[in-house]
Amino acid sequence: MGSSRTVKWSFVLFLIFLTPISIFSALMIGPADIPFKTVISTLFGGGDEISRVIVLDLRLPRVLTAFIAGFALGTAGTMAQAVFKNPLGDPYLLGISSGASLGAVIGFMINFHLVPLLAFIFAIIVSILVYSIGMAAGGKPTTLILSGIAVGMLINSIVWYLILSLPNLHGIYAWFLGSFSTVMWPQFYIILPSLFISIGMIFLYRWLNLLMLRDEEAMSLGLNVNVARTIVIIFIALITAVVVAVGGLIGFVGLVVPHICRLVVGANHRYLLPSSMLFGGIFLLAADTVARAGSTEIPVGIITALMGSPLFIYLLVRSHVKG
Amino acid sequence: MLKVENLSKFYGRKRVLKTVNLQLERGFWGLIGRNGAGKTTLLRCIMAMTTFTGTIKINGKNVKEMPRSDIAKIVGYVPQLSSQDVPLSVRDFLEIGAYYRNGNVDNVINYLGFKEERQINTLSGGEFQKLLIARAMIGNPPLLLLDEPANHLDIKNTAEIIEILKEYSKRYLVIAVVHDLNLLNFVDGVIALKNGKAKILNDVDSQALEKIFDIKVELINAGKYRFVIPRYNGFIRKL
Repeated sequence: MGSSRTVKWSFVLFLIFLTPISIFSALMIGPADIPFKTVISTLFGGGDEISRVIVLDLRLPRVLTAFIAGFALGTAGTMAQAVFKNPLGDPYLLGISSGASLGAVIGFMINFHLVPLLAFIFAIIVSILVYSIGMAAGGKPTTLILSGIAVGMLINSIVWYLILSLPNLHGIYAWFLGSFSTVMWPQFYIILPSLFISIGMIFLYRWLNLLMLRDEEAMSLGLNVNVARTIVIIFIALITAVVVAVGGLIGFVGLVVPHICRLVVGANHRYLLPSSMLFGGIFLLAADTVARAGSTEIPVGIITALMGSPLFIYLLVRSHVKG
Repeated sequence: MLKVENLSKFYGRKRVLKTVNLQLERGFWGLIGRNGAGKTTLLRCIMAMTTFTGTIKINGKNVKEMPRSDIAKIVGYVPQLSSQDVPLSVRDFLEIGAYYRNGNVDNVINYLGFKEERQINTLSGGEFQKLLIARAMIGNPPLLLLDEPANHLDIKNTAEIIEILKEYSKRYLVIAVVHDLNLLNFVDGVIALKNGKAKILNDVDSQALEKIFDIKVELINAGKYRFVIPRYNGFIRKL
């Protein structure tokens, strides 16, 4: 944590360097291993029929989608922890997870293909509801979190009631744990905007730095706290709702990736935000690659927690020992 | 410099400040009053961080009509509580404080003598308080407001901070909430808050202090300094 600016920028550069490597590796790995040379030649218009189908039609959209989802969740999680001044800040606060669940369940009841659209719409509707209630109750970070918990419990009770009426629980179960198993090019185009919005968030790093201080302090240093907080929350909701629409409720990344990066580069969002987005992307891509590498697909949410928790525990203890 | 006209502030039905009028130019001013007298509220009003009736002007500009970023350029503020537990380095912390100022952070770091990569949660109470004051002074805002700057500080740190503020107040206006009345030895003037009214005390004598604090006090003269001692007699027996 007491590292210099050079170390912090080196970490960001290292992650930038690691991104194409992890994408190429992910394209090679799968039930059928494809050698590096074949991946490269296929990407540039060569390769045989089989490698073209596997690399270009199946793996590339999924690999890119998983990376973007992690990138976006890392961004939204970092922003949520700043805006709620809470280490348990998560992109799914504000009722986004419960709203998306409701939309998804309704989708599974009516038509499977409507799941992404309904998950997105309900995530936005419920987060607006949570935000409005939170603002009516004073608009402090804690009030917003409590409003999210209260509305979340209400919506979840409806969700669980509806789930009882579903004939087949496998689909909704996989959705709850998060999964990219059905991702093709159309889903990639749906998630693509969240990549651009996330990159744009880098320009808000000053706001985030001020928002994580006490409100009164941030105001005295020149920030219009209420306006900044509202705008940041709108972006968190948008980014997260898009990810949830495509990948379901992928846990862990938004909550823990920012903490892991904070242990390396500290809390200044100038370094923390780029680190969290890149690390989130690489981390979720790695998890999804593991999830699909075996003979049976495992929901990626299980892998993220399984891979991430030991790393997080190690860093947590090490940072304490180092003092 | 600072002009407060007919300032009133309600918290619900409770009126904390009643038509306060003040006009101050420069110098080091101590703001005194009992707990809950409205000292912090007055500072918050000056920074337009809360709603109020009346007008407050800094250098002729109405604070209610100024964007936050403009107020931050001309008013430095040292709050009672800050965020020392956030994992930031000294440099990060100062840079965040300078976003809306035109000031040089390097000079401040040199002046403080702290290592710029030092984490703020490793600073002692006195060091952190100096950091907060230094942050408020970035870009030399003409008005400096401090909420109990000497709170929890030992005698050496208190002396250092008083010295810094005295120096700054030669050119600018400094208003500090003060609980340790002995520090009034070092201010240029005293503003007292009582029952929502503000009054400039021309004479800090025992009579005036007794009125403000509702307790008998004795003033002890020692050379050019005066010390305030409360009278405890009878208080414990009444309990």
